[in-house]
Amino acid sequence: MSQLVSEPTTGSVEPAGPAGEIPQQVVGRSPWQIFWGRFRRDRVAVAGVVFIVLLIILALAAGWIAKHVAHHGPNQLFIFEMTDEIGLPKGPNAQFWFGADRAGRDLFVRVLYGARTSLTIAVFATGLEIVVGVVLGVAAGFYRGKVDTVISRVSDIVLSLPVLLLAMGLVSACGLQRNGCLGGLVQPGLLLVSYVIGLFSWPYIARILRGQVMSLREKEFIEAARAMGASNARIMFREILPNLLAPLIVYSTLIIPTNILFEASLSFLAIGVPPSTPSWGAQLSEASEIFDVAWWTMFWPGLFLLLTTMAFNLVGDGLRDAFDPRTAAVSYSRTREKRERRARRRDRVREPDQIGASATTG
Amino acid sequence: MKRHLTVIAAVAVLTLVAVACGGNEGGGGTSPTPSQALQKGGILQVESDGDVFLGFDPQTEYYQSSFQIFRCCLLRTLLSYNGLDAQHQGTQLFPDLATAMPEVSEDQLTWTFHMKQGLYYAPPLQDVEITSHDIMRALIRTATPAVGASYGFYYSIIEGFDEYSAGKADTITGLETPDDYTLIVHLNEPAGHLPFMFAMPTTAPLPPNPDDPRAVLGIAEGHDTDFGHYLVASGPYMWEGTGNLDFSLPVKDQPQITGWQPNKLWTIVRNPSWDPSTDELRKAYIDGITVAITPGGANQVMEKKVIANESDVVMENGIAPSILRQFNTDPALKNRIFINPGTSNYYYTMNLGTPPFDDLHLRRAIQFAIDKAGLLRVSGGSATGTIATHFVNDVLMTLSDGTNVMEGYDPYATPDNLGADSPEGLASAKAEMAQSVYDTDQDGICDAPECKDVLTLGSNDPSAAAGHALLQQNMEAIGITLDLKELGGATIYSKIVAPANKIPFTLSAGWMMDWPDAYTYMLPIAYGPSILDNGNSNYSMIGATPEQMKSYGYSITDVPSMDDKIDACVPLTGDDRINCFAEADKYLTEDIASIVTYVFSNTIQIVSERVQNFTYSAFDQQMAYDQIALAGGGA
Repeated sequence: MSQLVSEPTTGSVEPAGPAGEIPQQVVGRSPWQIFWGRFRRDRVAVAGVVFIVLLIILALAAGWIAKHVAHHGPNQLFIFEMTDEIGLPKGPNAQFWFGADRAGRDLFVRVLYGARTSLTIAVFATGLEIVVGVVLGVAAGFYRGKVDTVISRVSDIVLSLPVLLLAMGLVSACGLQRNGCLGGLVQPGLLLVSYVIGLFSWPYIARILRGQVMSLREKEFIEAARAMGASNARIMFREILPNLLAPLIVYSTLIIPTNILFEASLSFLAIGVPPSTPSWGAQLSEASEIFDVAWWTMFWPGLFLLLTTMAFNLVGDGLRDAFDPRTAAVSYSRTREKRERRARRRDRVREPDQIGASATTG
Repeated sequence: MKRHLTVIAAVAVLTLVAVACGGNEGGGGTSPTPSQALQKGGILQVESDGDVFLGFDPQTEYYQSSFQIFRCCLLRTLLSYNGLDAQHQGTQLFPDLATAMPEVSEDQLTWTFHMKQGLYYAPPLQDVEITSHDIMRALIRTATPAVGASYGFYYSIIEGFDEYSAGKADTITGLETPDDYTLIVHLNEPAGHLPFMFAMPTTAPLPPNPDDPRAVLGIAEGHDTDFGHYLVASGPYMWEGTGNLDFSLPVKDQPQITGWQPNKLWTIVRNPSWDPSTDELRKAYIDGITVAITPGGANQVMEKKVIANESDVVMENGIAPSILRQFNTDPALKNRIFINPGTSNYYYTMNLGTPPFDDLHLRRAIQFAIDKAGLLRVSGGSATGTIATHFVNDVLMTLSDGTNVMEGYDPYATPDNLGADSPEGLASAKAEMAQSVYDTDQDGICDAPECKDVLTLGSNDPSAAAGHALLQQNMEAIGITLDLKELGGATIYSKIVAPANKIPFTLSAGWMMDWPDAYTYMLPIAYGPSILDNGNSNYSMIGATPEQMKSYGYSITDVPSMDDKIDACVPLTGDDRINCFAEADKYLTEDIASIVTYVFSNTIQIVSERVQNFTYSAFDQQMAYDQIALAGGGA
C-alpha cells in the first residue's frame, strides 16, 4: 500500500514499475509548491510579475540610465532646445525618446524616476497600512468584546473621513513650517504622503483580518494550543498569523495599485510629493492643459501608471487564485481543469488489471 | 491693484504670436472702423470662469474685471478715461461728471471740482439728481472701517479722512460742498496724483436715500458688506432689475438686484436716465451685456465658444496654448486676436528680514542669475510680454513726448537675458555672491546653511511648474536650494500678506497699476508706512522700522528704506513726476534689489466675428465695452 504523506497530486507519482510491483511511496507536494505550480500556469499573472520586476530594475537603474543612456538628468532643463516659440514642448525624437515636458525636461528620464516614487509609496504606504491593519485587525478578531467594539468603531470613523480634504489640510498645515509638524516628525515629502495614505487605509485590511481571525480562533488547533498553556500573544503570533499570510499577501498586492493611484491623485492636486520629485500624477497634472497639442506629455506617464496598476492587480488576482482555486473565475478554472486533466492523463497511475496488460506488450 | 494668483495662472497660460505691439499694426491696440458703419444694438455675450471677489461694491472692488464694468458701464466719476489705448490718450484723464479738470491752488493743497448739472441716477432714483454731496458720501463710505475699502489708504492725504476713520470726527473736514455742484478738496500735503484718485470707482457718486435723507451712507446704509446687490447706476448701463429696488423698506426686507446672480449670470441693460449728450467718453453702441459664469471653467472651453461665434469675448485676459496655435495657423482668425501691452509685471520677492536675503550682494547675485528669457519662453513666449529689467512697467515710464525714460536700463544684463544659464551671466552672479557674507570661501557659490532649503511659496497651477523648475536650476547654480511649496492661490495669499509669517521667498507675485502712475506701484510695495499686519503688499518689508520688525518677531531689525525717495515724487506732476519715480525705481532695482521683476505682460483678447471697433482700454486693460459695436446692431 502506498503511503500518502500529503495531498496526492498529478505529476509526482512514480510510474508503474515492472509487472506486479506496486509503488512504495507517493511524494506529495507542500502547499507552497502547490501554490507556485498554480501561479506559474497563470500566464497573465506571471506577465505581471515580469513587468513589476522590470519596473523595479528600471527604477533602481534610473540614475544610471539618465547618465549613460539618455545623457539627461531628471531636472535638467532644455528650454530652448525642446520647447517652441510659444513655450509648448516638442515631441519624441532621437535624443528625447518620450519627448519633453513643459520645462524642456526629458520625459523618458522623468517617467523612470516617477517609477521610484510610485514603488516607494507601494512599499512604505502599504507596509504601514499592513502593520497597523494586522495589529488592530488581529486584536479585534481575537479579543472581541470591548476591544473589538473600540477598534471597529475607530475603523468606521477613519473610513468615513474625507481623505482628500484632510490630506490637503495636513499638507498645508505641516508643509509650510520649517520643521513640519509634531516637532519634525511630520515632514512634508514622500514620507508624509506615505503616512497619509497608510493611516487612512488600514481599516480595509483590519476588517478582512478581523473576520478571518474570528473564524480561525474557533478551530481545534487553537483550542489545542490553549490547552497546552500557550499565551494569547503566542497564539496570535505563532498559530493565527501564519494562517493569515495567504490573504495578507493577496490583499497587499491588490492594495498596492490603490495606493499608487492615491499618491498620483494627491500629486495631481499638488498636495503629494514635493515639486522637484518626479511623480506620474504630477506629470499628468502638468500635461492636463496642453495634452491636446502635446499628446506625449500625458501618454507616457499615463501608460506607465496604467500598466503598473494593472500588473499589480493581475498579480494579486493570480495569487488569490493560486492560494484558493475556488475563487478562480469560472472560465479560467475550466481552462485549468482541461489542462489538469491532460496532465493527469499523462501521468496516470494504471489500474492493477492494466499493469499486467502493459507489461505483456512488447 | 493686486494682480492675483488666479489671474497670474491665467496669464501664465498665455502664448504667443510674434507681434507684441501697442499700435494698430497686426492686431494690437484698436481696430477703428468708420463710425458710420457702427450700429447701435445687440447684447454682448461674455464668458467668465469666476465671479468678482469682492461683491461689486465700489468701495471694495479692486480687480480689472470689476473696474471695467464700473468704468464702461455702471458708474460715472468726476474724472474718467476714454476707454482707448495709450496711443489714443487712454492713460489720460478727462472730465466725466466734472465740467472740466479741477482747479488747483498755488500751494497744491486745495483742489476744486465743478460738476455738470441735470444728471440723474438710474431707476428707481430717476428723479434724484447727481450732486457733489454724493461724491462726499462715497468718500465717507470709503473712510468707514466696517466697509473695508480696498484702497482707502490713498485718500489719507485728504484732511480729516483718517480722523473720520478713527471715529474722532463725524465728517471729513477736508471735503467741502458749498453747493450742489461744487466739491472742494483740502489736502494734508501736496499730491500731484489727486486727479487720478477721483477717477476711481470708490469716488463714484453714492445716492442719498430719498426715504431716509439723514442716512449718512445714503442707499448703502445698512449694507456694509453687501452693497453690490443694491447698486444704483450713474453710467450708460445698469443692472437689470434695478428698478425694483426699494429703499423705503427696512434694510433686511429690501429686494436685491436681479441682474447679478453671483457665480451664474450678470445681466446689464441700458440705463434710461443716462444722457449721451453729457458723456463724451462713452459711445455705448451695444444695448446690454450678459456675462455667463462657469466657476473654475477651463479657458479652452470658453475660448472655443468665442472661435465658434457662440460667445463674443472671454473676460479673462489670456488664451490657452492650443487656442493660440489655432490663431497662428488659421488666416481667418487673424483679425480676431488683439495683443496689447498691459501695465502689469511679475516678480519674485525676497524678504529682507529673513536670511540669507538680508545680504545685498546675495540679492544682486540672484538678480544676475535669473534666466528671464527662459521664464518668458515657458510662460508662452514673446507675445506674453517683454522681459522686465526694473520694477515699474515701462508704459508708466513714458514721458509726454513718447520717450521711455527707462529705455536701455539693465543693470543686471546677461547675454540674451539668459541669466546663470549663460557662462557670462553665471560669472556675474558668482562675482556678486563672492562678496556676500554667506559665501564663506568666496568662490561665488553660497555655502552657508542659510542658503539651504530656503522656504519658498509658489502657485500650484500646472502652468507654473516649468518656471519653478527653471528658477531652482538658476538658484542652485549659485548655491541656493529652495524648499518650494506649491500651493493654491488663496492659501499663498493668506500666508504672504502677514509679515509675522516671515515667508522668505515668494514667487507668485504680480502687480498692476491702480491708475496710470508709478506711485501706485511704489506706495503699496516699497513704502514703509504701507506695511500692514494683514493684507500687506510690501512683502520685502522695505522701509520697515526696527520696532515693526521686532513686533513681527524678526531677528533682523535693520532693513533698507526708500520712503524719502517716494515722498519726494508725490507733489510732482507730469514729466517731473515720471522722472522722479524713474530714479526711485533705479534705486529699488540696484540699491535694494529685493524684487526680481522678470516680465512686463501683454494682454491678449480674442473676439467673435461680429465684434466691431475692438478697443483696448488702457485703464482697466480689457476690451472697452463702451466703445465696441456689434455687426448689424447685433442682428
